[in-house]
Formats: sequence, C-alpha cells, structure tokens
Amino acid sequence: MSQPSRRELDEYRAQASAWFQENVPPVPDFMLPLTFMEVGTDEQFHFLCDWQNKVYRAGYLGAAWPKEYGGGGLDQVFQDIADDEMRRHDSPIMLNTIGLSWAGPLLLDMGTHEDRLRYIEGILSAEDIWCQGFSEPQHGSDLGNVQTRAVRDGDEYVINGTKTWTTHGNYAKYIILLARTDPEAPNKYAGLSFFLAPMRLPGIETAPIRKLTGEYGFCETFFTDARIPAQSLMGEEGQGWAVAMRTLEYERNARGGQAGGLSITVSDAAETIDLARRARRGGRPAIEDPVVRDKLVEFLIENRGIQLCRARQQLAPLNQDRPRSLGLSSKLMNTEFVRRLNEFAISMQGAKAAYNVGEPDSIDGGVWQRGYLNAFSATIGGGTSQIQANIIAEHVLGLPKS
Amino acid sequence: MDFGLSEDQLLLEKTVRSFLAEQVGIDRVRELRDHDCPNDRAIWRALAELGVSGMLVPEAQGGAGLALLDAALVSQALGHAVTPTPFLSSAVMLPTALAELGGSASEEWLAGIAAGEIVFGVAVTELFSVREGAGVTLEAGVLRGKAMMAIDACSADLLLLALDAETLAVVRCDAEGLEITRLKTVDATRSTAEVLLASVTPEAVFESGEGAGRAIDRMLEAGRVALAADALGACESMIEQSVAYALQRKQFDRLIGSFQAVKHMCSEMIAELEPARSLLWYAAHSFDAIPAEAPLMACHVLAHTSEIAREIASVSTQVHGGIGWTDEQNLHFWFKRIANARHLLGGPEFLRNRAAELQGFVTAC
Repeated sequence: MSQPSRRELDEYRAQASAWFQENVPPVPDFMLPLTFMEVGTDEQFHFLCDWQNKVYRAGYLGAAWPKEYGGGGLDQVFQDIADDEMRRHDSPIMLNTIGLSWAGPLLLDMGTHEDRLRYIEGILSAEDIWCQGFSEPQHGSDLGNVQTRAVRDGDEYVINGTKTWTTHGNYAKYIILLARTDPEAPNKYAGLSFFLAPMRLPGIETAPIRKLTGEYGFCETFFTDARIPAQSLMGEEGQGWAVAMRTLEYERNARGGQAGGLSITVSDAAETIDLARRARRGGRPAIEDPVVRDKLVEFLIENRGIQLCRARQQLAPLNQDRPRSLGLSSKLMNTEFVRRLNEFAISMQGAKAAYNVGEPDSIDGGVWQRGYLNAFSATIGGGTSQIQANIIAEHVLGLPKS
Repeated sequence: MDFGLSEDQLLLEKTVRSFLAEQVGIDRVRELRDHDCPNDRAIWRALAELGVSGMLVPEAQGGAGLALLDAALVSQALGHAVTPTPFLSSAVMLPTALAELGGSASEEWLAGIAAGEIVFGVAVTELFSVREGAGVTLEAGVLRGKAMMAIDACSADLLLLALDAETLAVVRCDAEGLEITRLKTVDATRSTAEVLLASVTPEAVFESGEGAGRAIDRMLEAGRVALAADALGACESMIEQSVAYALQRKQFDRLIGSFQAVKHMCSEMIAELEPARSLLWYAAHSFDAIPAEAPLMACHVLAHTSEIAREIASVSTQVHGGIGWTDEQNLHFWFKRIANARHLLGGPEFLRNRAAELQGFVTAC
C-alpha cells in the first residue's frame, strides 16, 4: 500500500471531523458508562450498540482492517485520525472492545479465512458482542493457574468451571475463553488452551456483579457441562497461554491493524481548571489559592505528558532506547493518574465532597465521585498496578522473577 | 507531532556519547572535581571539533545551524555522563540570545563559540530569585552590584548578565572591577559563581528597543529545555546504575533485584521517564517550530523533570544501599547534578507559578 499523501490525510480528517460533529449523539438522560467495562443497563447497551454500528457504517471503525472481511482496507493512519476525531468530538465509547481489540486481531493474525468471514463484520458492526473468559474467582493475577476445564468429547469440548469479571457476559454472543485441557501438563501454562466459543448455549449462565458505585457491567459466568464446537479451539491444545499473551499484545501492536475506537472515556485534567474556578476556598475561587493552583498546574503537566506519550507511541524513532518501555508503562501511569486527578477534583469540593451521583445538589452530578470510585477498576483490572510494575521490572529492565 | 529523529541527529548523538564514554569517563570527572573550574578547555575544544559548541550557531559564523531538538539530544548525553562543560551557557543560551540581538560583536562571539575558543558565562538568577539584595544596575555607563549563581563563569572569557527582564550586558571576565568567585555547591560538575561588579565597564549593552527582552525570554526557554534534557540524561544513568547494581548485589542468598520492593522501585523510576521524555521532545520542538507554545512548554518540561529527577535520584540511592551513599561509589555525582539543576533556571514551584500566569490562572488582586 502506498503512503497516503498529506493532502489525503487532511481531507480524511476534515471529513471525519464533519461527520462526528454532525453525528455524535446528544448526551442522553441516563448515565453513559465511562468505559466498556461498565455497560450495565439495557438502555446503555442499546445506545452504544447503535452508536458503534453507525460509526462502523460510516467507515470510521475498522478502517484499517481488510476489506474482504468487512474492514475499510485503508492504511492504519486513517483509523488513527478517526480515533483522534472521536476523542475531539467527545464520542461515546465503542463497547465491543473484547471483539475489536482481542478477538478480532487474533482472528486476523491466526484465524482461518472462514472464521474471519464469520466473525469480523459482526465485531465491527456490534451485531455480535464478545466477552472475555479469563479471570476466575480463585485465579486473577495468577491467570496461568486457571482451572476451568475443557475436555474433548468427539467433535465438542465440554466446559466446566467459573469465570469472573466477564464484561458484557449477559449481552455477549461469543466468548474468548482460556481453559485447562491438560491438568497433568509439566507446568501450569502448558495445560491451557484458548477458545473462541459461543456464549448462548445450554450450561452457560451469567450472574451480574454489582460494583461499589452501584453500577453493573461485569458478570460471573458458570459453565456446567457446556458443549462448545471443537473448532472453537484457536491454535493447538497447550498453546492457550501463548495465545492469551498474544491477545494482550495486540493493543500495542496488532498485526492486522487496530480496529480503532475509544474503549474508555479519556480524563482531561483541563476540566479541573473550570472546577477550580467554580469551587470556593475561603470565600474565593479555589484557583486563587496558590496551593490549589500549584497542584492544578502539576496535573495539567502530567496530563500533557500522557497525551504526548500517546502521540510518541506512534513514532518509532522516538522509542529506540527501550522500545517496550512506553507501551508497558502506560497503563500503570495513566490509571494511577486518573485516580489522583479525581482525588484532586474532590479535594476542592469541601463539604460537598461526599455528595454522590443521584444527589441533586452534587457537584457536576457526582461525576468526580463516580470517576474516583471507578478509577479502581482500572488500577486493579487488566493487571493490577503492582503486576504492571512486576512486568516492567522483568520485561523492560531484565530484573529476575521474585 | 509530525517529526522523527533523522539519521544525522542520531549520528551526532552517538558520536558525542562515544566520545564522552571514551575520553571523559567518571574517573576523569572525578579528577576535574578538584580543579578550580571543572570546565576543561581541552575537552571543550574536542567537543567543538565534533560540532557541539557551535550546534546552534549559524553556519555563516562557522556553526552547524541546528535546532534545539538537536541540542537537547546532546544535552541529554552530557547529563548522562555528568560531563562538566559550558554547554548550557555557551552552546545553548548565548547563541539563542545573540540570534535575537545581532550586530558585529555578536557575530564575532558566535564564531568564537563555534570554534570552541570563546566561553561565555551567564548570570540570570535575579530574574527569578533574588537573594541578599543581589542585582546589577547600569548607571552612567558602568555596572555595579552582585549576581549570584552565574553559570559557567569561572573560567569563561565573557559574561552575559541580565540586568532586568529587558536589559542585557556583556562584560569581559578579566575586566577591571569584576570579581568572579566560584561557589561551592553540591554539584562539582557544574561551574556556578558569585559575581561582584564594582564599576565595571561593559563591552556591550542591549536594551528593550534592541530586542533584549525577547532575547532573554528565548534564552531562558532554550536553557530550560536543555537543562531538563541534562537532568533526564542523568536520570537515565541513575536508573541504569540501579538496575546493574540490583543484578549484581546479593543479600539473603539472592539478587536484590529479585525482591519485589526493589523491582517496583526500579519500575516506577523507568515509568516516570516516559512522560518526561515526551514533554522534552515536544518542548524542544515547540521552541523550534511552534514558538507560541514554547514559553509554557519550557516551564512545564523543566518543572516536571526536576520533580521526577529528584525522586529518581532519591530512589536510585536507596536501591544502592550503603555504598550508594559514599564517595567510594560514583552514583552521587549524578545525584548532585540533578539536585543542582533543580534551581538553576528557576525551581519547579516558580516555574509552575509562571505557567499558571501564562495560562491566565493568576488574576491581579
């Protein structure tokens, strides 16, 4: 594919900008989830499915995925531009993240042609929602130790066990599942296999998990002699861990290109400037307090650093010294930042700091309180900050396992 | 951001790093610590031959006519090797100021800088931190007063002084009535001095009508970016040293690098570098290509880098245990380079307040 010209890119950006300007829906009268992990009500679900579908049909999702499977067949840079415009126009999130960022890239990387024809378009259009069956109640950080069993029986696998943190579990049509096919394997990792399986089957039940914010979005998933087709297996038996690790890499470096879209609402420290002007400290705007102002500027600088890291990740020449460092440290840095930013915002709210969502007199509808409480799903989920620190130590710095 | 690093930029950086590793290793830096001035002329001339002193000097005056981004790469290399040089003053701040001022004397000085023959000191501290009634005034054509923490003045030929936000003066370091006393600071790798002026006749004076205000602004912006790069380079070395130590030191029958606490200390340090690095590239790029953003970005990058650098210096020292705290180990050279840099062109508190002013957060009471 030839390099797109500056003019082509600028034209595309202008078109995308105009489209999002015109089409981003007005804020509904119910709360939208902050991330793809918090879609807990039917209202939220339908709103976001419709929106993702619309964005896809307009060509702004999966723009870089192959045309023959439903993508746009364009250079990745076009999808990056579309993502940027989504950000700039405060687009609601693309909810089908497990499909877009895990299952889809995996299929484009190592799936069969038939599988791609079967699954890719549904991932993009949000007609087929995907969920992830990785963590278990007894095995979260220690994912390599999962015990959900998959036993081969003719042309099926029989699944027994419990998964937790199943995002979209109750809405999903398909699941990416990490299960144990060989309990006798020489080490725990070698006994695992990876499946792309249907969810709507007898023997698969979900139960919603309520978060401390009162919202939903995750499920526990119970497998009781659930039978999935043998073709659900990705790769060979025993390769499950390697495949799972591969899916985690796709966010940084997908072989088929990134589908795009925002899976989380990006926090912008600039919103705290406005809050600092409105909040009171000793009868005056909090922004006049030099301590508040100093902290505010610190957050703005940090925010800038994070935004620039996002841009720098696309520029290989600026990532030479330790090529993995930026990718592997961004979750740790960004999620901890969001928690502290929300803390700071709340610290300016005086006695109203405890007013939550639903309290009519709450500051900004309790969005900071909600953001703060939800921030922990990010510092804990997807690999806790402490696990991230271990990964950085081992994979970026070459320090030994503990 | 719409740029990358060119082959030439990477080559220059690599050349400088190799030269420093081979010719100015830490043992040489230790030797220089005991000299009257740590800035060695022979080393500076050798760097001039590599094109370092004249990086920002226009080609017409024998320089390379490069940009601040290039200088940032070299500055990082110098911080990484804790090399004593007058790079900040002579290679960055002076050419930046002189670019705004012009004149035949400026051209002569620039040519001298590019050749590695002229070294300038810079006295700007009173623009952001006034102590002990310091300050220099110009009356009836002579300069009187005191300037503190002048950079690279000790063995310099000439000194550039900011009298106020819109006035600059140049004096010869051997001028009558001028006394330059090197200050004993925590950082032996950087020359800082107190300058006393008792009726000194300047070589040149530049006032607001001649672009002095803009020269001062741009000089501080460029200096702040270069200083942030120096500190960042020093941070990188401290982290490398910490990891190397953790992979070699054993306690309780295992490498200390296998203890989770030590691993996390190292991870957190390396993670902090990434946003600082991003801010540095963007700040340098702004100075070169988006001048409207440069003043704010210069404040941001130096404030941020100073804060993370202090933390990295502290944590690195902890990782090294007892030995890191002694002169037996070399680690403290980097620790002190970072510590001194923190206040050299405005501390983080000052810079954040300046940033707040630039963004309109500070209203007059």
